[in-house]
Amino acid sequence: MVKSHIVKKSIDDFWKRIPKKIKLSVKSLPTALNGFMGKLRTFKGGLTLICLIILSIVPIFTKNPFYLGIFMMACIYSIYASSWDFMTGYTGLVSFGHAIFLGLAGYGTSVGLVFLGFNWLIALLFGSIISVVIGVLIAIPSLRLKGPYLALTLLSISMILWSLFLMGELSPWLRGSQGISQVPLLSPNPVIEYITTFIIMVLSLGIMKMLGSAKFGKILNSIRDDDTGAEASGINISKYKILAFMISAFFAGIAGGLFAMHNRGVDPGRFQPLYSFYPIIMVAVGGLATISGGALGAFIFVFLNEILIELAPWAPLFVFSIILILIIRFSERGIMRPAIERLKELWDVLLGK
Amino acid sequence: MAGTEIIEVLVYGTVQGGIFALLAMGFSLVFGVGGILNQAHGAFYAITGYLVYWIHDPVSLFAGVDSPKFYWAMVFALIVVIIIGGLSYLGLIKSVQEHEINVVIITFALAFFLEQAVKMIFGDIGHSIPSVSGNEEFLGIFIPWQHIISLIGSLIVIASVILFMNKVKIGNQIRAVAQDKEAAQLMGINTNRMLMYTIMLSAFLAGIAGLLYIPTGDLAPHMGWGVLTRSFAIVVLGGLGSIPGSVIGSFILGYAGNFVGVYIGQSWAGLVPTVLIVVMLIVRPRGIFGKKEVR
Repeated sequence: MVKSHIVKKSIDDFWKRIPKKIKLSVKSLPTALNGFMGKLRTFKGGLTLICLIILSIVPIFTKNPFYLGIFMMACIYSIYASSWDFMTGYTGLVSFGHAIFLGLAGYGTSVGLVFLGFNWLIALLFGSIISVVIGVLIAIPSLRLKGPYLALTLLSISMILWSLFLMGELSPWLRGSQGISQVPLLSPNPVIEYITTFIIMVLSLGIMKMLGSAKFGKILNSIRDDDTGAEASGINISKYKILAFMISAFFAGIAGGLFAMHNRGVDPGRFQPLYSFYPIIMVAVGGLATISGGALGAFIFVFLNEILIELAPWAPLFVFSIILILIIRFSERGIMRPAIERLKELWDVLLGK
Repeated sequence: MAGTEIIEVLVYGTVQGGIFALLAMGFSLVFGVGGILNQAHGAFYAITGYLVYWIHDPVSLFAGVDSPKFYWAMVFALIVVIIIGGLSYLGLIKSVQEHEINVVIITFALAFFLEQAVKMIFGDIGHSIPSVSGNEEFLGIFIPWQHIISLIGSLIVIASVILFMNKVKIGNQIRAVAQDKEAAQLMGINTNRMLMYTIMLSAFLAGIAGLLYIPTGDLAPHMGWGVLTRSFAIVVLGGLGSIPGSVIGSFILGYAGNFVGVYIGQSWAGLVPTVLIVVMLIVRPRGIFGKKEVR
């Protein structure tokens, strides 16, 4: 009898608390909105909004699948580069093997679509989850590795996957060097394909940005900057490193799945060091430890690639490697950031500050 | 014949072990002296092969190893790759030395740059450089002469390097810096210059390895990455910064790789280096003979 009385009281308390919670959230809406509008008014927020608006109306100007395809690849690479930035820039876990996740998710998504009959969203998530699982398996032994060792180990793992998937004997599904082909497009209509890819990019980058700016991101930063200190403050760095790995692998996987769907196929070449190099150059140009840097670098890279590839098949990578060398040699935070800061001063002047 | 397989493993394992040792010693020394994992190490190996190919004119390419031009081409290629190594240090590595990670990225970019430069000049197809032809029979299998020359050549060079490190002044200085950088500086050794010499030495060793071994197979732009992975595997196995570790690790990898290749399948053999890396890093990150702490 006494017990049921206590239970009833706790239930009553619970019901009483709900209205309070609703009241609180309603009250805080204006503040939240204010905060949001405030962010918009900042230089970065405004610029981001303008870019997003421009990108979303691209289909109005062109329905040509080739041009839309370029924008789509830029979106896909934005997700990929930002996922790399999340691991390397935010957490300090240098990855020279991000192609692992791109390729694994590419294969996972392709298998899901071609052999398992999933629809595109399920297949995409399926590929990304495979990427995450393998990511965790790789992360656990890698926890103790310092920067360059981790980088080289991940590179080696990407190469092992390259040769593994090239082998025909691995699985009849994976078809060795041919890879999986005739993967269905996300949507037969290129406009819908683009808009969907664009929305996925915005969501992915948004989530990563939120995670990066929140307390979680700050913890990751502290692991990057001084992990002995972080451990001494009581942070379980292994747990956070694994989480960072998982998040990075997940979004790289999303990019990998989208890539496979857009390319209508996947092959072992996806694991080449080449694809691990791409996010590095993109983030180096766009700015390390900022999710938007990955996107900026990706767009620049994709458009530059289209221009350069007209000259010669080796031209893009040749130029990119030179750019990367120059960036690392002469500036540490990415050449674009000083330019953005100069633009920022202009913005402030315009706003009359 | 049942017996020949084990002979194959032993012979080719030894040949490859010798070549790997040249590569791994250089890689390990550069790490020991400068704390650098040179991502362009494999590229140095590949570039030497391409330089030999390039310097040839078509006549001597057909004349092959009978033409003296071929040997001059080899000497020239070696000199060029040593210079490339030195310039990489002076131009790139030296300025970003403070941050390990920048060095790794910059050498990674250098490796890509060299690969693309090669594609630009030669195209993305396979080539080959002439080798000594003919086989020799040994215990029931036929070994191509080029392999025998590789083995003899690599053993001579390995011995020379060990002598150099112990008896020649610069070699001693390099060892001093590898053992204790600050103490070496206090003794008046210019550690930066020693690092440059070490990188040039590692380029030289990679170049010799290329000259000896590339003729046995093909020349392809992306061949540097496999070399890099194997070098890393060996130094992880043998211990970063340790010469004896590198040599022993090289032969272990040579035998293990060929064992898997002969008894299980050639395509599986490529996995051996990476599996070794992962296992060693979990079990004993320091390596068999390692002195420096990995973590």
